[in-house]
This record gives sequence, C-alpha cells and structure tokens, in this order.
Amino acid sequence: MIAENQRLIRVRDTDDELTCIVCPIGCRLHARRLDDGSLEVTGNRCRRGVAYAEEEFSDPRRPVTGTCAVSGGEFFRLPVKSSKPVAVDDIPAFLNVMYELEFVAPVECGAVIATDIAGTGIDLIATMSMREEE
Amino acid sequence: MDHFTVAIVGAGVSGAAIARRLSAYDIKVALVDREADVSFGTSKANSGIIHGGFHHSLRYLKAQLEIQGAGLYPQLHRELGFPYRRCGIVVAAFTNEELITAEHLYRQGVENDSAGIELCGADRIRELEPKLHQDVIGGVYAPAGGIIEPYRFVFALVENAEQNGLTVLRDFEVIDGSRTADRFTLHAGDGRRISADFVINAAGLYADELSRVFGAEQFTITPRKGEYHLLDRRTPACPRRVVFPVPTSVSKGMLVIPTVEGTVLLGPTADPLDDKEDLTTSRDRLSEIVASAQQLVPSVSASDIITSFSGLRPTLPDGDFMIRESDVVPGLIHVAGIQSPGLTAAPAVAEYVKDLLKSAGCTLTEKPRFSGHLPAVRRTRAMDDAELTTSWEANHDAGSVVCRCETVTREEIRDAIAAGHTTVDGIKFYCRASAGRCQGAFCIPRMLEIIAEETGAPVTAITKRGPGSGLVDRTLPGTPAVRTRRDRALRGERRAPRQTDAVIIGGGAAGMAAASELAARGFRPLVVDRERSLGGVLRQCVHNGFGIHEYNEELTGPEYAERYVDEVARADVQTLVDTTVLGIEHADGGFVTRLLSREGGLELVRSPAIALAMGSRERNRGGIQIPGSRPAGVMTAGAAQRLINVEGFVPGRRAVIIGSGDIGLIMARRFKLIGAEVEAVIEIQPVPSGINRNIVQCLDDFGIPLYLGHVVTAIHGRDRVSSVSVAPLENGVPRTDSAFEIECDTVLLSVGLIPENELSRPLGVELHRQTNGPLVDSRLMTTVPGVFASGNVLHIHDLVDFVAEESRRCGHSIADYLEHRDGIEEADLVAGSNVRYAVPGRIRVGEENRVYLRSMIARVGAMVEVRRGDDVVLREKQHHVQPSEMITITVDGAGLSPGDRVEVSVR
Repeated sequence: MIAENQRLIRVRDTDDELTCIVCPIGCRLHARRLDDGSLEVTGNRCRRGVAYAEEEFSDPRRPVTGTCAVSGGEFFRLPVKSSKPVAVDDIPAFLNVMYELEFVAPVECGAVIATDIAGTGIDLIATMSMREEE
Repeated sequence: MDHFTVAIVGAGVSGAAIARRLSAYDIKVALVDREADVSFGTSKANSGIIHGGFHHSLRYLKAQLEIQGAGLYPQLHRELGFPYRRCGIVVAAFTNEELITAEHLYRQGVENDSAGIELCGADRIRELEPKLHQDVIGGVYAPAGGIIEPYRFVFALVENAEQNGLTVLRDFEVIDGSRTADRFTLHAGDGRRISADFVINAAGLYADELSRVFGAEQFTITPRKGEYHLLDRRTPACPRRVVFPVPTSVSKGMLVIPTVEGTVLLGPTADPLDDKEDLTTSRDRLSEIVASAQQLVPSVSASDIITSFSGLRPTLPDGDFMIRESDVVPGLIHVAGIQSPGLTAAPAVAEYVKDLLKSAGCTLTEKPRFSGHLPAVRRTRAMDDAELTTSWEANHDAGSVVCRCETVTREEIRDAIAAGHTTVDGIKFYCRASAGRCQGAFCIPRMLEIIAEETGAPVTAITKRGPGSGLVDRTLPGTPAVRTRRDRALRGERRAPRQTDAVIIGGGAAGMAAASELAARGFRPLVVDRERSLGGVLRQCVHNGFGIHEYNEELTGPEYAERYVDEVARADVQTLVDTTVLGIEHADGGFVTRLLSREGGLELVRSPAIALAMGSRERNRGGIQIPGSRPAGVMTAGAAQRLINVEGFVPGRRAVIIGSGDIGLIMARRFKLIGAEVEAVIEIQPVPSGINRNIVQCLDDFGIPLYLGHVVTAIHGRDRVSSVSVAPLENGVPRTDSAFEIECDTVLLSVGLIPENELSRPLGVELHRQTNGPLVDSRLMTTVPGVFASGNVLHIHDLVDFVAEESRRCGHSIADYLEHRDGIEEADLVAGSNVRYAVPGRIRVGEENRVYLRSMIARVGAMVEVRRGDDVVLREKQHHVQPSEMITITVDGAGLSPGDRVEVSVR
C-alpha cells in the first residue's frame, strides 16, 4: 500500500494559521471558527483571502496527480490526474487504489481510464498518450 | 577450495601491476579485493601523475622504483592503450628561497637521471606554462613527467592479466587466514576460501591488518587523506603541464593537474588520520585547495568545480615503501606503505616483487602464449567523422549517446559491463559516463536501465560502488525491476535532411514553440532532441499548474507538452528524437549541425539559422560544495523526479531536501504521495526560493519542516546516506555550536538551474555573466548572426508559459531573419537598481518590446521604471515583486533613438 498514513494532509477545523495562495503575496491568515458557525479571518489583504480560508476550513480539496503502471507502451509509467480535486481526507484511499491500477497501451491523453476511484465519485484521466511499443 | 600458486590481496595499482606481470608465467594467480571492483581503494582517488623523478633522494626505495617505473610507462602505454600523456611537470617558485629549493630538486633530478630536467627562469617557465601566476620567478621543468587515468590503468592491467589466466575475486575481504606447512588459506567474509603457496600483501590501507591475520610482522599503516576538487573541462585554468608548488618539508604541496581527459584536478591536501574509512571532505580544506591553486594559476575559479572527493594514502612511519618477504612467515611478501609515488612506481614494483617471489622459491616459467596487448581506449568524444561512422556501422549502439556531458555511448557502457564493471562508479571510471559536469543527473536513470538490461539484475540490486550503496530502493507497484531490452525497430526510414531552414536544438516547450511559429511562417525547421520523445522536462513534471497564462487552464506537464507535440505534428515540422547534437560549426555563411543517433549514425545538416533551445541543467553537489562523505543517495531533485515519474524507480525512503526551489518542493510532495518520508527542507536564504503555493501545498500540507537560513554542513554515510548535519547561518557562517543531525537515506538538491550552453560556447556565442545564457538583441539573436536562443537556455524562467511566449517570438524573428528583414534599430537595455538582469539586452526602436526581468528584492507594492537618462520611458506598478517571480513588462520604443541607453529598475 502506497499511503499507509490515513491523514496524509492536515485538515484545519477550529483555529489555525494558514498562508493564502490566491496570489503571490501569500498573506499570513489567522482563521477561527466562531460559535455561530461563521469563520473569522484576519491578516488578509483582500476579500479573496476570506474565501480561501472558508474553503480550507470547510472542504479542503487538492488535485491528485501521479503515474500508473502501464505495459506494452514506450514507457513503464502512465501520467494520470484526478478528474476533479479530491477531498484531502480521501486522498490516501485514492492513492492506494490509483497505484494498484495497471493499464495496457495504447492510451490516449485525456481518456477517462478509471471511474469512481475509492468511492469518491472522481475519475482518473490519462495525461499523456502512450503509444503501443513497435 | 581453489588453490593458486600466488594469491595477491588488494587490487589497487600495485596488486594489479603484480598480477599482470605474473600472468606472463605458467602459474595460477588470484587477485582478491574487498571492494566491488578493482581500483576502488587508494588507486581511484589520487593525482594521476607519473612523477618526474626529482622529488625524492635515491636512498629511498620509493625513489628508485619511481624512476624505474616511470621509464616503463611508455612501453606499457603502447601495450595496454590506457589514457596517458607525457605532458611534463613544472615546479613554480615565487621567491629566491623557493628558487634555492628548486635548484636542490633539479640536482636531485639530475642524480636520478630524470630525462631532460632543466632549471628555468621567469620567461622560460611561463613559456612552458602560460597559465602560471605572473609572480613566478622560475622553477624546474621535468619533461618526463606525465598524467594518466589511474583507474583505467588498473582496469587495463587486470583485463590483460585476466586474458592471460588471472582469477579475480571481487567483494572478497580476507577476514581470516592461516599458514600451514605447505600452504596459505584465505577466508573471505562471505565464507569463500582459497589457498595459495605464496601471498602478496598489497592490501594498501589494510596491509598491517593482513600481516596480523597471518601472524607476520607488526606494523602500522597510517592513512593520509588528500582532498581534491575536479574542474569542468571548460575551465580557462587548464594548464598544459602538471603544476607543482615548491615542496615543503611535509608534502609536495597542492597541484594544478590537467587530467588526460581534459578536466582539471586541484589538490591534494595531506592530513594524517586514524580512520581508514574516512573519505570525507571538509569545508576548510576545500577552500584551502582553491586558494592554493589560485596562487599557482590565477584563472582557477570555484565556479568551475564539478565535484570534490578525497583519497587515503597508506603510509608507514619512515615514509618509504616496504617491499620484502616476511621474516616471520616465509612465502608472504609485503608490498606496504605504497603512498606517492606508488602509481609511478607500480610497474617497477611488479618487477621487484617478481624477483622476490623467485628468491622465495616460486618457480616462474614463461608462458608459451602470453598476449600482452589490449586495444587502445577509444572515446566517442575524441573520434573524427570517419571513425564515428565506422563504429556506428559496426554497432548501432555506438550512435546512442547516454552521457551527454562526456559523450559516452551505449556501446561504451556495454563494453564496460562486458569488462566486468557493473557498478555505476565502475562504469564511470571505465568509460566516463556520469563523470562530467552534471555528475549523472541526466544519465544515471539511463545507466540504471542499461545495467539492468545487460546484466539481468533487478534495478534494486544495482549499486553505486558495491553492497549497501544501492540507488533504487523499490519500484512503484506494477513496474518491473528486471528490464529486458526493448528498442524501437530500425526501419531505415528516419533520415535527417541534408539542408533545412533552421535547426532547432531541443524539443522541449521552447524548441516546439519556435518550430511551430517558423512553420506558420512557411519555413521548414528541423527539431532535434536527445530523448526518446518530445516534451523535454515537461514529460517528468506530472503535477499540475502549467498553462494558466497560455491556455487559461491548469494542465499537467505531459498534457502541456502534448498540446505542443500535436501542434508541431499538424504543422508538419520534421523532428528527430533519440538524436544527440555533437556540435555546430560555421560553414559557408551558415551552419552545419553534426547529429549522432542510433538510427542514423553521424549525419550533417546544413542550415542558414540555428535556434538554441537546450534548456537547463540542475546545479549539483559540486556546484555548492557540500562537504562530507560521498555515499549513494545524493541526487538532484530533477533526477529523482525522472526516476520516479518516468522510470517508476523510487530512490529512497527518507529524504532531506537541500534548497527550497520549486522542483525540490514538488519532489517533497511526490515523495509523500508515493509513501516515502521527507524529514526537512533546508534553505540557505532567509526566504524560500520556490513560489508560495508550493510552500503551502507541498510542505505545509504534509507538515514538512522548512529550515530557512540553514545549511547542510556535511553529508554522512559510507555506502548510502545515513544523515546530514544542519546548522543555522549567522553572518554567512554556519554556527556549528547549534548544529543538529537529521537521519535520512536520500538527499535531494534543488539549488538552482544553469542554462545548458555547452553547444553555444564553441560556436562563439557570448554569454551573459548573470544569466549564464547568451547575450541577445531585441530579436533574441545571439552575438553570432543567425543563431537565436529562447527558453531556459537563455535565462531561467519560472513558468513554461513564458518559455513558450518567448520562443514563439524567437521563431518569428528567425523567420524575419530568413526573409532578410534586416536593418533593425535598437537601444541598449541595462539592469539598474534592484534588478538582477533584464532580457533581452537590446530593444527595438519604434516598436513594442517584451522584456523579462528579475527583481533582487521582495516587496508588496513596487514600481518598475524604465528610464533614458532623466526621461521616464515606462512606469508600471507591480502589486508584488520577489526574486523568485519573473516580471514581464512591455517597453514602447516609440520615443527612443538608435544607440540610446535605457535602464530598468525596481523601486
């Protein structure tokens, strides 16, 4: 199994510091979940920082990329990506399934090569065409 | 148990020379060594000099053997074909006192019959060696001295001896032994045993221990460490001859040595040690070497260092060699204390030992059939066109270049493997693959594959230099560790055109963008790339974040590459992959590009224009001189990225990353995503050099600590990395009192990229001091008319979108050039306050110019200003500037006149 650590990526919940990544400035944000359920954000230079913190506190997601085993092609690894960003809590399970998949060339770039990975409802897409070995 | 007449313990140069000498006789000889290959001890890390016979008095055995040995080299060279050049030695004196010592050396040389030795005054010595410091007032010249590749010499001796019946046992460490009335028995650590009538103790640093094993004489070998730097072959400091300082009472001093292969060696230091395994380098010694070498040859520069290493010389208390039969154990012959000039003396040592064996009662009858000849070492790098074609016709692998820095082909690597060298270091010493400026960052993945294919061993069993120094920990699920050779069938369809509009060197984003633009303008360019597919480094960048500017969406690297591959294919651009450009030459007002490939052999293509799009390479350990040991597991982040994402080879389990460049950050995340650990990222600067988003999503997300303002002061580990020492920097100096250690098995380097201009320089293209890329005008044309440059070969970009944009403009300019749209008017653009550089250095009068610049400062709310004297040409507010983010501006040349000087600054 590739990802034994079931908490690969840190999840933020009540009170945390985070760096905004919306623009290169990288404001150091402090966000705190208030009793009424709303999020108090400080340290941001613009409104986009608040939206970023909201997302990171409620439903943090990351696009997953990597490679899968492929046979009969020019190369041994097929670059792949998730069709949508994956919830960070699901990423270990997603990786474990992804790394067990094996494909056979030819594969077209952009093709959906596996669906509903680890019950996330998210598919896997080939990001490179793999020609058959001549 | 196999029985031999003679067992030689230690396959260094002494043991190998003895083995080869004895292979002329009708006896069974075994050569055993504790290491994975011959020459892996003292003989692999020394100065590689054939001495001139003037440093020692004849009352020493070592001096007698040095002189006899030196005399035997020309003959041995003719027989065995190893790289050797009699370039002569100069000893440079700076003061009258030193000149007196030099006279003493001269007299000693005359007594020793050093052929042609002379005393020189200031003019003569500088005529002999023009690179010498101008303060040199004279010295000694010994024309008999020379240079040699020490390991290749040992390999040749052993190879030839094997052809004449020698048995070589590698990984055979003699841990125990016995002497009975009629024979010696030698026990190896792994249980193997052999017996012999005579034992030659050529165990180098361990000669004292071997003597003890057989209950013979008690003596002590003290290792003396010599540290060295190796300079790139393009250094301006390469002397014609070996340059010595005047010796002191303790050592011959630190030298500047032109190696046979065209690089330059600086060193050695001389420090006595207790530890026979301590092959570390140290910060202080390494800087001493540079300072000392600069005294002799001022053009020596630390920026040309490609690697640093150290070797241990085995010394006895009296400083002399000890070569004699044991008084206590008859039949055991000691060859101990063989320090400098051991390499020079080796052929004479072999004669001497042969005579000792005879007197000890060994019957030596000459073999009726002894073949003392090996074919001369042939390097692809040194071949002319006819030789290249002949060797490719004999074997198409001779057209497949694996190591780009040293131009080593698959055939040469296969020859190394066939000669018994199956470790990466062994292959490097044999054929120089990975010995050049990139130190294997590009070719080690290919070498691993080739070794696996040729030997049948799984990649996980391939080592740098023997057990424990593996390079691949595991393969990703579903990827085979055992590789069988799979080559594209040769159908003879692929031909390079004899003539084309422009040769574009490099099929990454830059080359493809330039090509498609040229094609759109109706020209037929040829794109050449050495990899098996187009796309360059994008192929291995499987993460996303590419194309936001160009395509308005986030693509992964391979997807981005594929868009360009499709575009180039639609435009019907001719492309040649798996093809190496050996060089570009001027011809008839245009250029001839020399190509070498497995499919086409040597091919020449004429073109009126050239586009340089070779990209960049990663700065490596030599470039930043991290002291410590040299275990397996130290690699550039990009090399690790290639191993993991393209080959499916996982290089280690726990990494420390040096440098917070984006590739390093991306690799930190990749390590985590494939189930490996990242202990820390160490950054020397007080601010990260990668972009913010990568710091957050590659480090913060995974809780990986980032140490800013810290340096790695040493890498530890004998065979494989075991840990690194880290210290905070205070006023530019590491605070060793606050140093701490981090355990790891892998060190990844992400410490910057260097434009790859190895093909540009010989063409006469001038480079920019700051960017290391070509100087270009507003058309992106270099100082050589008809040669253009774009992408990372020109300056390092942070986004591939900018590479593509710049390269499209480059293609456009080449088309203009081919249509003879000349007569452009330009103003000079220079970098002013807070600007590291601006590209291009000239802008077009009367037109809009895209200019890329890099700020030296980080701040929120900055102003970019372009001025001509007091006139403001452009003022543009920038939301945020920082050194890691390139700034793009458009300068309107409407108000400028030809020859104006405008300056761009950030405030």
